[in-house]
Amino acid sequence: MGGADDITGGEVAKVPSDPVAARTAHAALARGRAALATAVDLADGKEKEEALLEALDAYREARAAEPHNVAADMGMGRALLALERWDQARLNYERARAKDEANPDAHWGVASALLLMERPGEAVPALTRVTELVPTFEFAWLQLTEVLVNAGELADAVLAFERAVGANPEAADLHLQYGDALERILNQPVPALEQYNSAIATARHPDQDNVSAGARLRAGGIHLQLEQWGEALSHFEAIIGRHV
Amino acid sequence: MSEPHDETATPVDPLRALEGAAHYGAAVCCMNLKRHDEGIRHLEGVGRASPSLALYAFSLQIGVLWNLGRYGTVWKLMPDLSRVVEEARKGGVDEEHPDFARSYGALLRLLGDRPKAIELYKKAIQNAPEDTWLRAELIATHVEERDATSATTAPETPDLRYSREPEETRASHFGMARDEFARALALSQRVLQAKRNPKHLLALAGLYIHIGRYENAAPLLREVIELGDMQQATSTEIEYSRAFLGLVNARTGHYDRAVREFSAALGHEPDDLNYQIGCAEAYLRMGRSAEAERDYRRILEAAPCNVEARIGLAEALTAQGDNGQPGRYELAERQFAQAIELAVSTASPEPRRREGSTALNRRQLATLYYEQGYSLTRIYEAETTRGPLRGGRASDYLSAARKAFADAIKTDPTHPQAAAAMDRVRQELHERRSVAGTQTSWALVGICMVLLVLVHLFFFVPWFRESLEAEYRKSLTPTTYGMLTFGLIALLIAAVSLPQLLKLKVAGIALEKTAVEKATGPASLDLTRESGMPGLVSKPLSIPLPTDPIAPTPSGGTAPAHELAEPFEKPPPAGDAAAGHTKRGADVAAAQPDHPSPS
Repeated sequence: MGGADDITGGEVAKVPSDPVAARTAHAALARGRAALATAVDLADGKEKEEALLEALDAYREARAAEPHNVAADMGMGRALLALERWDQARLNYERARAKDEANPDAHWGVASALLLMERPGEAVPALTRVTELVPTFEFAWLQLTEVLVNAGELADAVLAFERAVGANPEAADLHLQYGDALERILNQPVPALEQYNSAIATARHPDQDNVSAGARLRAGGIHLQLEQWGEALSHFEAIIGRHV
Repeated sequence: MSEPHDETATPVDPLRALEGAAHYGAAVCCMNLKRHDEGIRHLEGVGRASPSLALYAFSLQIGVLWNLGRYGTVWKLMPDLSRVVEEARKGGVDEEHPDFARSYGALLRLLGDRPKAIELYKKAIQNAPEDTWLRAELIATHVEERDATSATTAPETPDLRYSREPEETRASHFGMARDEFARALALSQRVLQAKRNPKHLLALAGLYIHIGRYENAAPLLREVIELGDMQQATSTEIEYSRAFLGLVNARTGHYDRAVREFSAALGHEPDDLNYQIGCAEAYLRMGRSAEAERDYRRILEAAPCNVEARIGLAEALTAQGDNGQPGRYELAERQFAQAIELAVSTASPEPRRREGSTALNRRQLATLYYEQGYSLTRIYEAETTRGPLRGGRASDYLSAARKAFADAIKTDPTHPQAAAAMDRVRQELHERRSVAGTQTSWALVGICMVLLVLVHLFFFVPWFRESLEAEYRKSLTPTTYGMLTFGLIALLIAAVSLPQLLKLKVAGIALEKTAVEKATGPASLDLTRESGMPGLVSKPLSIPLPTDPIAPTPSGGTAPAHELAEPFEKPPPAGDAAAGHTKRGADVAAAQPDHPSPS
């Protein structure tokens, strides 16, 4: 669980502040972090909502004490996102981004809020910026490529995939997703097969069984289309053998 | 993003779902690698791992078994269909998906529940109006229903599978098929204007074949083959094109070309029974009965309960009999009898009691009885040429022929030739009786003559008289002489007139030929040979039957070869299962307040 406050945490505050205000902000941020951590562990319900509201209040207090504190904005954005108040969350992330343009979490927060508001087209610049700032962040690549594919911007999507797998050659998920796009959208089964094979080769961890099996299933499907029965069978049997 | 699922559906472990899809894919591979039993084992594993795939697996299993000629096993499995569908529903299968309709519809049609299949297809077409293959299935089902509503089973079967329905019902089904064809044609042509894709070309050709417009289908099929030459069509698509071309040529009377095309299709799929039957039938129609016999026997080795092949073999043997090998009729008759038995069992409303591949309609079954009667008559004629001592056995054949013709009339009272054949057999039986009477009367005449001579010898020749004992000599009185002489003369007259008396009862028959001539003259009954089983072996060109033994059905169903070779995209849940792991986007983020962060 990578929390937004892991990045900023007030350390990026650029304006020198009043020590009292700084102490107040620091304490409020700590409260906010604790409340958020509590909320994350809770199941959906009243208690969780209360914890999130408590976090929100704490971050709000931190921002009141230190208006330039990016962590306070990020924390508010995060609490609001969890409260499903997406537009407010976006505003807070944008505020943080305005204060610290190089903060990938801020861009990611804006993109996430926009995606949740079903405005994927507007999320593209933010997602692109995230991938520029942190090229190894697979999830942003996955989001970006999906948005591009869904928008029909296939050339951009392919470019994004190429950059994504270039930056993350060990990311099985990305290979799988790229293969999927190549196969289903661009109707290029043979290049797709290469990506699936890369996904199979890179999904070594037991947690990636789903990815490996998914890639094998797709690869087997392509071999079936190509009437390469033996190759297809070996993929299918590998899935069955692994999960029997 | 995600497809709608039944809310009562049992949640499925995604990995298990993947395993189910893998079993399905492995089964398809095994089938293509001819490892059928291994494939069937995989199919049995599909439903356990992923209930939403259960129906697809069941459908493929049925198809494979069918293609292997294991009809009895298929019929024993078919009652499980409702359970499998229920399982699939619980597994959250998308019942409105065209593939669901295709698989379920094909199985319903196999069971004979065409009205339900029609409803299913219509609903699926509403959801997938662009699906030409689905429309082709609907057209085929309407045509099947049109034919089946005029059909029924053997008279021996009290529980008829089909009821007689008014002519209007039949016409309405054909009308619906025609309307659907018009819609599908427009759709298909629009799709093809955008791209000459082999799959769509085959779909359109299939539509033309279903409706009997073979001349339109042929160029499309040739185009697919040309695309194949340019590596733009798969081997399976070429195979189907060849098979469809074989069918088109067979239906248009170009049997030599039909043999060539079916042989080419068999080059792709040597074990396909449909192609083998198509080839054998073309040989039969070409008059090459020896090749036809060879092919039919090979089919029956693999699938002994294949009704079409059984009938085909019987017809080939009959043709050989007609060509001067009378000994073949007896073999033909046995094949007809077995075909009738299989066809009647397959018409049972209880699937478990069915054995064969096809349930014939009234007309087809009646023709089969007629053909059996024809063979029996020919055997009778051959027997009668072997001399009077074989007469008793010949009568048995004639009686059996009479029974077969009677069954034909009972099955289809409007059968055009059975009634005439029945009359001729009846005449023949009367004439045989007449011949028997003549022979008896001549024997009696002989006996009377001998006795008359003996009477005169004992009365008038001393040596004979003296040879008798004294007591017997006393009885040689004029009265005894008179009684014996006049009695024997009266008997003689009666014996001489007996044949005339018998002929009086059947005067109409005796006019044409004498009884003796008829009994010794081969082919005397002059029965018309059926030119082929209507709608079964040689079908009317304008109305292709859906139960056509040689038609590779475009959508699988009972023709599993299609499903086997269908790209893996076919079973939708396979894709879904994988998609479940690759799906990304706002829904993922929404589900996780602590969504990952770039850092």
